[in-house]
Amino acid sequence: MVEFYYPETLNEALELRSRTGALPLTGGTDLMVRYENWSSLPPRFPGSIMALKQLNELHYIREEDDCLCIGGATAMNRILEDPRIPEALALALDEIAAPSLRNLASLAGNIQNASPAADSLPPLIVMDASVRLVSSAGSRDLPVQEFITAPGRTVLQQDELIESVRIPLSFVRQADARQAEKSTIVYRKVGTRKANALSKLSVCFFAHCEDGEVKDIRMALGAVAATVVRLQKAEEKLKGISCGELETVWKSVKRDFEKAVRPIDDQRSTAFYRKRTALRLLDDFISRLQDQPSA
Amino acid sequence: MSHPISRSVRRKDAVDKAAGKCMYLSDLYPSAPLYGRCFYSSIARGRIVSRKLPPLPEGYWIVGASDIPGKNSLHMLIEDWPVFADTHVRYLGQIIYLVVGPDKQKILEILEAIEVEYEEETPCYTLEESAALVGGAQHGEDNVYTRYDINLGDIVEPFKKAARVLENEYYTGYQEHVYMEPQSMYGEWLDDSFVLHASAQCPYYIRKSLKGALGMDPEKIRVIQTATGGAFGGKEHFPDVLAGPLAVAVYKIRKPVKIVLDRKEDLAYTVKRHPSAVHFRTALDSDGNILAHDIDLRLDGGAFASCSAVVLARAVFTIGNVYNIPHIRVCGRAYCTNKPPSDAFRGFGAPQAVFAMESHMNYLACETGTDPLEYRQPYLFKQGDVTITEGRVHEKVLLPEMTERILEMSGYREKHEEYKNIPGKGIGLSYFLHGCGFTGNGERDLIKARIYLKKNEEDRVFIYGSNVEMGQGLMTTFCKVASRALDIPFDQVEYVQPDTAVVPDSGPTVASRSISVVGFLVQKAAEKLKDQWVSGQAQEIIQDYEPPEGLVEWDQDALKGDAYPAYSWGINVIEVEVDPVTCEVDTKGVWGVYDVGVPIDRQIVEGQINGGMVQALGYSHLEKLECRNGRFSQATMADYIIPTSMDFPSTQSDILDNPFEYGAFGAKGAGEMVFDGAAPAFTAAVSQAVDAVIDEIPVLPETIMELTDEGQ
Repeated sequence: MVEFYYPETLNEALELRSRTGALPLTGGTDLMVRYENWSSLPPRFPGSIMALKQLNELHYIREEDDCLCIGGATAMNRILEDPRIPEALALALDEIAAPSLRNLASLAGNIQNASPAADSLPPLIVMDASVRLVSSAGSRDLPVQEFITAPGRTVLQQDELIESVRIPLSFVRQADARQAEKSTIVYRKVGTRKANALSKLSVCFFAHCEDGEVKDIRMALGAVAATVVRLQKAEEKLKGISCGELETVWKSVKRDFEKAVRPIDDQRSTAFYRKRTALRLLDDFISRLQDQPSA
Repeated sequence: MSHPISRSVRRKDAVDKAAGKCMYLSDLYPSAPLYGRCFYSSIARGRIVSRKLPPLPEGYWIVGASDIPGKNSLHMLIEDWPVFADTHVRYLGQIIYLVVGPDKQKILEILEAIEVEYEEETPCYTLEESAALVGGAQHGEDNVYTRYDINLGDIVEPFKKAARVLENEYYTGYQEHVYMEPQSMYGEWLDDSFVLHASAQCPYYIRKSLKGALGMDPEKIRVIQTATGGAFGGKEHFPDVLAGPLAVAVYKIRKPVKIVLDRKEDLAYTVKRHPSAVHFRTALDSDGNILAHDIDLRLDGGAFASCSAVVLARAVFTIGNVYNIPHIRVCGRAYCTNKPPSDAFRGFGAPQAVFAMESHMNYLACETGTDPLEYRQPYLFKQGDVTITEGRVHEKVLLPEMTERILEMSGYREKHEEYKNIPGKGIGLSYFLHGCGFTGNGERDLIKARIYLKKNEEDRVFIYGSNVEMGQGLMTTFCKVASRALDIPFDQVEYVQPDTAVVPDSGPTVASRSISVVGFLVQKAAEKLKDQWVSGQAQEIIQDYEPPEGLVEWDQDALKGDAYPAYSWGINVIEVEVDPVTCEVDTKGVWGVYDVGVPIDRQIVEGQINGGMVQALGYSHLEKLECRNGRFSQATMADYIIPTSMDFPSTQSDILDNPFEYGAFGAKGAGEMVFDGAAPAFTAAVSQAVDAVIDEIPVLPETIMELTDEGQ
């Protein structure tokens, strides 16, 4: 029997979750489509459902513990309107579906749905964002990159919920560095059309160059493998390099990406296109950094 | 010159549609005593060896081939499409049963419990497999639904003396209609009649199709059109396909049954535009002039014939496009494959033909080192020229004036020159025409349209015909024509909702014939009523079709004569920029100049221009629809990509004046022609931007990447 629960507090929700394992539903923009039924019939949910949208405790954006924390039920449009949100994330959210959908959809839901093509993931992973998972027994924080293990799969336990998404304030401060023209952020969604589109691939790149040297560089690519590709070891090889040498060093580092970028053919695009475009976007980013006037 | 009738009025349906008051089928019948849902074949080709049906609760039915009171066939052009698959299935999605009952959940459970066992046969999915008779012939001995041959002049000599022969092949893909309202119908039994309410383009087609299946007198089958939320050809024959099972169910159960397809069902199992492959061989003299074309044109008709023969006819008669070439041979064939049947779609074979010819003209220009615009000029049709079917271009041809106008609007000439040196930028141009009305003698011998004009004692005038309002503005334009001819206010005239028990058969709502053919009957009837007008008295005029005079007699066996009494004409220019990294195409400008005779309502024609252009650009660039193992890969609206308002700029257009003697107040068709030209203009622009020959649509970033990036 499929039950529909409507808890009024987070504690009640956690108690229900651990007792029933009910599927959390916030905006429902993924679940309602996935379990769509013949018109006028209720969705074909595989098990019980619990609504979370009404939990005020999960609607917030605040700074705590050196993180910008976004409550698990906060809608994408509310996040977009907040001036403290890093540009990388704002650019991604702004291109997700259409405003009406973003009024419902939550960032936490986009993460838990774990689609390889989820547009919020490349910026979150570039920013080293984490999720705080809570249960009646306690809480734990996990980097988003570790939280998602495969298409549609996360390590969320039967009794857990995503309480918040946490972005390190150290990254949020990139805005200051950008004003000094020391850092570069790129978000690019290659969609099936110009608006209200799903992604063929989407990428988020970040670099911080100072005194003619690469201080920090991060590259995340979505929808080109089973999970978002970010290669920290490869990034390390580019750090400390002088901007002038970047393109030369990149040639050898690029091989790591060529190996890791393993897209598929599907109804939206081809493996060839995804791979070529991902690598071309990387090349383009590196050559832009190389061409930057050194500080 | 501007005609008073062209001045825009508020459409009859504007307020109701904008305010959400218009009652579509699901508004009229939000619930029903019984719902129907189809059980579809899950394989593309095979024999049904056994069926296991679940026990049925009281009040539920599984309706199938054994319940048909008459013949198990729908009557379109021929009768090959069964109402229910019985012993064989020919495509994935063919209807085997209709499950009927009061509770939708229960119906779904019954559908899941039905077990059909097949003995699979080897399907043919491509034109090549069909021609090779893979798995054995399915239609006739050669899998060819229809073959049409054209021999204009004699191509043998020109090919013998040719200095050069150039050849190339052009391909177009599927397209789904995506009418906003999915296929919807509601059937009931009243007294001794079957009554069908349907969102449909052709009420009389449905009646004709059901007559044999029900084994009933056509007078006992009544079809009432409900407000139709878009059609584009998708509601020309497909309503026959759903109405068959529905009618059999209502005949058996004698209770009302409603069928509304979900969007996913509609995408997966309804008809689509014909994919095409057109091969050109062209003989050129030493100066690069065209001596003759030898053309092989193939359409993928899918699993049943439906109206493929007529789509093929239009493709073959349009393949010469706007050019006067004295020697052309065409071999046109529509093939049977194991995929959902292809059917009518705005343009009806013409877009495929125009894409092939215009792309080929660009190819010839490129190979001979000539500017594509200049290359076309010597061949453009002039009044009196001979058409591909040895008919005549009877009307004045405005192509020179239209060319001048579009060059001035778009800056084509300068930009085309400039972009030769700018990688990533391109601009393309296309010429096209569209024959108005049914092909050949169709109007005179097959349709024999009739309309009534009735006036009541309050002097209100009502137009009776079977053509439907489906968003194109027909009820407004017909009323404008009548009110102007009668010299009475527009509000004093109304169009009667088509109902086969009430209106005469003025033919189907297809083929750019409504305003040019039926609208002319409305005008003639109104002129007669004006002569006989007695205020305060009920009066009635019956107006039958009369063929225009001075036409070259049509010979259906030889395919010679005037294929169409008149043509609408157009030129498009499209400008693009291609992203050097991702190969995404940004459409920077869209222009169109058209000859539609006289626009009966400027705003309505502009609506057609804008809508036709966006739909055609979607066809050219976004709407990939692949059929893999008999199933369409793009299964939802998230994956079948139609344009949004962000994808293309609005069309800058102009309409030139060229009244047609036998059209309502000089009008010719506009609904389809505005679709025909975008694809080749778009690919020409992309082709210039990326410096590669493009011979296939849709041209996606994936295609461009493959053409321009070797993967290093």
